[in-house]
This record gives sequence, structure tokens and C-alpha cells, in this order.
Amino acid sequence: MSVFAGIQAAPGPPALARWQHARRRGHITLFAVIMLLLALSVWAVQDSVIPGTDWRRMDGFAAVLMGFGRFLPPDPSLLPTLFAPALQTILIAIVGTLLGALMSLTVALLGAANLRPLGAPGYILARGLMTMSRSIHEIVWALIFVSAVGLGAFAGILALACRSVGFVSKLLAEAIERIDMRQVEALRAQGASPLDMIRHAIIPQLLPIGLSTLIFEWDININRAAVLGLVGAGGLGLSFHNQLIASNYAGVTTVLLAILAVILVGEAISVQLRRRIV
Amino acid sequence: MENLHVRYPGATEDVLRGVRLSLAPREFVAVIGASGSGKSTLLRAINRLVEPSAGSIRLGDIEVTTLRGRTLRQCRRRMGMIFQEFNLIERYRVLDNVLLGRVGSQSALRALFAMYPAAMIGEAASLLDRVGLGEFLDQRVDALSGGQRQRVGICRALFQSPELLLVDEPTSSLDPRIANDIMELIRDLALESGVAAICNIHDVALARRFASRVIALREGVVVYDGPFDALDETALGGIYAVTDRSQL
Amino acid sequence: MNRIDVAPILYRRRRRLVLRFVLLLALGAGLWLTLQYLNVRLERFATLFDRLGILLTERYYPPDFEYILRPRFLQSVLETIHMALVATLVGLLLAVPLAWFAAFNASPLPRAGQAAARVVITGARAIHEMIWAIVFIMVLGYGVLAGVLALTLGCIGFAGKLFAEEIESIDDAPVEAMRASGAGSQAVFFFGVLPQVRTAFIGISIYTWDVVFRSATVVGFFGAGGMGWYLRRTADQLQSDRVAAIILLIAALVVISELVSHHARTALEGRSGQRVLER
Repeated sequence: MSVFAGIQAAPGPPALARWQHARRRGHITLFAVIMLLLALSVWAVQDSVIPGTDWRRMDGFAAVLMGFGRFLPPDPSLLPTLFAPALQTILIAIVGTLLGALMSLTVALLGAANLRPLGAPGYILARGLMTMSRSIHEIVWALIFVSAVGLGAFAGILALACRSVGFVSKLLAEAIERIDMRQVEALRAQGASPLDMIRHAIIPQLLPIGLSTLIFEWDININRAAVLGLVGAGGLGLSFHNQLIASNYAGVTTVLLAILAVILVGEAISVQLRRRIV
Repeated sequence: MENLHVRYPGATEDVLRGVRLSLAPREFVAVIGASGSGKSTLLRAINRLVEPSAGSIRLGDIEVTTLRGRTLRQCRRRMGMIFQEFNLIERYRVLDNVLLGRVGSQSALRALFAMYPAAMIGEAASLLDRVGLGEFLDQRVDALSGGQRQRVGICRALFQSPELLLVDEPTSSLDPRIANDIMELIRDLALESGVAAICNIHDVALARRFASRVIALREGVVVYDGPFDALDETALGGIYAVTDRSQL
Repeated sequence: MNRIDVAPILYRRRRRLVLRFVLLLALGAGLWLTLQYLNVRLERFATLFDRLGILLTERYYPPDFEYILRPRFLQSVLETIHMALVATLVGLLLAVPLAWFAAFNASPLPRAGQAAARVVITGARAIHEMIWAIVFIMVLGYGVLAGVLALTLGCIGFAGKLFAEEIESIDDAPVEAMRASGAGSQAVFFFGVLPQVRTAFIGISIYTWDVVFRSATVVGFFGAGGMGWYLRRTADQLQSDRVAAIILLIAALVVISELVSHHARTALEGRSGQRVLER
């Protein structure tokens, strides 16, 4: 008892009071944030979710469960027809990522704060492209390219490439900003051309992080490629669309499982490859 | 190569204020001075890693300060540079680093694939053997020790077949015990290939041992230029006035 | 002078070079075959920029800004924000316990619970939220609810994985100390785990909001509520000037949202002194 009393006495009353005050303030902040979020969500539910939903169509909880039940069991007879679309999806992701990588390298070189080969205008342009690429959803990119080059895998590839530029080039630009400039300086001092400097001083330093970023992005791009078929870029998305139009619920589940399988395999490969690089 | 004039009145930043010096062929000159006296800036101005704000630099009969783009690169190929921190491509092999010394003179396609003629590779290999790295040709640079790396850096600079060697504090990042060896190597190789060298060095004892002529910089101004013998303790004290004399 | 035998070095260099060329050729051939298989006609690539130029200058320009200022459209923008808000809040509330169960070092049910939580997070993550939206539309009909549910799943998949990774990288010492003093797994979570990951969780939550909001702008494309529906309708009716205006609005909204959350993250970093995740 006397031991505890000693410990309590040590910080003294002002410290204890400060501690209590900070604690109380923390609680009040937490409470305020929770109330604010609660109010916002009540407003959102009242204003949008309730009026924006067709509740009568659902016809009660049991009917909704029945609705989900229609998706089961999956239809395995469809599987053989899904190999070609699955391959297409994977290939679209690969080519899209590669094209995106080429574009990203250019954008990253322009947008790296320590190089700025084209000065401030190039830097601003590159940073703008990065933001634009990320803020436009892949569906919208696909929409733009479908209207430019027509339906097909090409539009999907271009959409994925443009969507990838934001993330890949941002990481690459950060990597360029961290590179050892002395290596670049050595090549400049001996009269190497800018191309040689990029090839022999910058790229070797970017290779590990660049490859690992690309593999990661490819993994994400499989996921995106699977959805681009919905707006006309082929692959598993198209199969999904076909089952949807035919109202074949069991088929929809099969395609979903196929997409899941492709993505999980892609993720496993991606993790393995990145582990080997790092 | 005939003469090299550097006049460099730094109007804006005043790192170098009206430096004027000339080098004869085959000459080995040491530049001494306290840190911040402008030694590095001087070297970097010669091959235009730093832009001189005024003045002129001449290599042979070429005016370096007005060169741009391609001609500047061609001129830089005639000047080899050895760096304090080696500045090697860490992920490349030793041989490739040395071969990079001539990447600028290769065709763009060859440079892209790092292809070099067999004779050139043989040349690089025997140069590396000369500095005692014959065993390490096929190793990556990041596996080497500091002294070995600086040898690679020396080979890369010499492999350019330069007319002038710019040497920036070659031993400051190294173990003091091997500093002597490295300096000896640089001087011998410079003599063998008949290259003039200008070498920044903060260690006066080391400079005294290897250089015939010394240039002292203080706050961007040449305060001494001549043989070492005429440089006595009091003069050195003036050069290093701001810094601690015990380090001499 | 030439004491060193260059032949083996030359041989090795040549072999590496040949290998590199073969690899490059194989890559090129593979790419060509892939493009053939995917029916991509490369001659279209040549005209791509012309077509894009025409598309941007003649059809998308000038954007019909008057369209996006109509009250009905603005209503859908508000709806989009509402959807993202509800989905993020519900999704985060579900993602925290799921991550707790899924993390190998803190899971209260290390076998069944961990596996189940992992399946939920991975499944939610692997299937694109647009596909979830369509599935929910098939069951629940067109409307906001389907979109909110799809976004919630997307949020769970995204935040759940990051939360779980964060829990798995904590310092185990305090947790072990608590276990040693006989604390139950709930107590361990609330007093051993949560204080360590609180800042990171808030950072991830802000980041998740960005991702969910970006998805919310288009999740309505197939009828799951929000402004995405107008994008679909104007695109189908080839009203390109309106499509352009909507795309610009989406980009502007996303950028504004990202700026706000970037500031929030910076403030968080300043207050906590910890690095907060940033993409």
C-alpha cells in the first residue's frame, strides 16, 4: 500500500490532473467524431438509400434469400468454355501492364523532382497525368477507348495501360527521386548521352523496385481486366455478361468462381515472383 | 593538349572568384584548401558539371564554356573523372563499369545492349589486371571493398583515354592505410599514359608526396601556385586559417 | 602486359548477350502471338492518336457543363457521396473485426475463425465491386442498396487486408505480456493490439474512403445508384459532350476528395509522429 502511495505521489497532482484532462479531451473528441459520423450516415440513409431503392421488388427477407439461392449450385458444365476467356483476361492484363510500364517510365522520368528533363512544364504535365490516370475509373477509361478504337481487347489493353500509369509512375518517380545521383553524374562527366545515362545509370537502379511494382500492378490488372469485358473488352467479363443476359444464375456463379480462381492464381504467382526479386 | 586556362569569377555565388591557372601536359597538380574553399567546384567547372557564371576554360584550343550538347559531350570524353565516392554503377560488373568509360563513343544500338568489340574488352581487362583486379572482372561492384572500387573508378576514367584527369578527393572515403597505394596508382598510371592530372586533396602530406606542383585555394581564390618546396608552415597556416591546424 | 586470359570472359559475355537477345526475341514473339490471339490489329495503333484527337476535339469538346448542373444530376452526385459514406462506414466497422479474426498473431479463433475471415476478405477483394454490384442488382433490383452493398464488400476487401497486415506487423511483446497475465483474447485486442494500430487504422480508413468514393462514382453504371447511371445513359445515347462533362466532374470530385484526405493524413502524421500509409 505504501508502495503505491509513493508511486502516486511521485508525478504530483498537476501531472495527474493533466493526465485526466487529456483523457477527458480524448473521450470528448472520440464521442464527437462518432456522433458526426452517425449523423452523416443517418442523413445518407434517409436521403438516398431509402428513397433510392426499390424495396417492393425485394418482397421480404425470405424472397431475398431465395434470390441468392438461385445462384446455387454452380454449373460445372460451363467450365470448359471459360478457358479461352480466362486466358484472354490474363493476356490483356499482361499486355496492358507492359504498355502501362512503358508509358509510366516516360511519365516518371518527366515527373521526378530531381531530374525534370523538360523543366517545370514537363513536371506539371507528368504530375497531372498521374493524377488523371488514378482519378478516372477503369470503366471510364474503357468507355473512352471503346469509342476511339471500337470494341475488343485493344480498348481493354489501352484502358488498363492508362489506368496503371498513375500508380506505377508515381512509385517509379519516387524511386527515381531516391536514386544515387552520383552514378548519373559519373556518366555525365564522361560525356555519355542522356539516353545512355537513363539506360546505364538510372534503369539499373530502378530495376528491382520497378519489376516488383509491375508484378503487383499486373495482379491488380487481372482484377480490372475481368470487369472490362462488361463494357466490351472481351475476356471473362464478356462471359459474365453473356450469362447475365441469359439470366443463367448458375452460370453467373460459375463465371464468378472462374474469375476468383484466375485472380487467386495470379496473386499467388505475383507474391512468389516479388519474393524472389526482393 | 597544350594549355588549360580557368578563369572563374563567380559573380552570383562567389564560390570561385577569379581563379586562373594553366596545366602543362603530363603535369600532376594537387589542389589543396580547406573544405568549402571551392576545390570540388573548380574540378566540376572544368568539365561543366557545374556551370561557370563567367570566365573561360580552354582544353587545347577548344573553348569549353561555350560548348553545348553533342560537342560538350565529345569534349567531356577527353576528360576522365575520378570521384571521392567512386560513383560506380553498383549493380554492374567490374568489367562493365570500366567499359562504360567508352559508352559515349559507341553507337546508340551498341550502347543500348552494352555491346563492345572484343579488342576493347581485352584492353579493359588488361587495364584492370594492371591495377590488381584481374581476379574480380566478373564480380558485381557492390561486392567489392572501398579500395577495390576506387581502382575500378580509376580504370573507368583512364579507359576513356583522356587527355586530362580530374581527380576529386580520391582517398577521402577510404581507409587511410590504402590511401597511399591509391594515390601512387593514380600518379603512376597518369605518367604511363601521359595524362595531365589535377587532383583535389585535403591531406597535405599526401599531396606533398605525389605532386610536383601545388595550388592552394582559399575562399575561392588561388592563394598559392608553385612547387611544394616554397610552401612553408606559415603559408599553410594561412591557407587553412579557418580550420584546425592539428589535422595537418 | 596482357597476362590475363580474356577468352573465357569474352565467352561468358557473349553467352549472356545471346541469352538476352533470345529472351528479348521470345518476349517479342510472345507479344506478337498474344496480340494476334487477342485480335488486336496493330495498324489501328497508328491511327489511334488521330482518332483520340478527333474524339477529344470534336465529340468531347466542348463539354456540356449545363447538363451536370441540372438539379436531377446534382441529386445523383449527392447520392453518390451518400453511398460512399454509408459503404465506407459499414465496411470499416465490419473490416476491423474481420481483420482481427484474420490476423495470425491475434485471432481469437486461430483455426476456423481465421480461415473464414480470410475467405471473406479475399473473396470480397478478388471480385471487382462492379461485378458485385451486378450480382446484387440481380437479387435486389436496381437501386442504391445494391450499390451500397457492392461498395461495402469492396471496402471490406480493401481495408480488411490492410488492417490484417497492420495487426500482423505489431510488436508482440505487449500482447504476450497481457496473455501472460491472464488476459482474454478480447482484452488483448482492445488493450494490447488496438492502441498499437490505432493511427495506422485511421490512415488506412482515410485511404479507403478515397478508393470507395472513386468506385462510387461509377458503380451506378449498371444501375446501382449514383451518378454512374447518367454516364451509362449519355454514353449509350452518344451524347459525347455530356459524357465529357461527367468524366471531368468525376475527375474533379476524386481529386478534391484526395486533396482533403491527403491533408487529413498529413495532420494525422503531424499529431501522432507516425508514418501513415500513402499511395
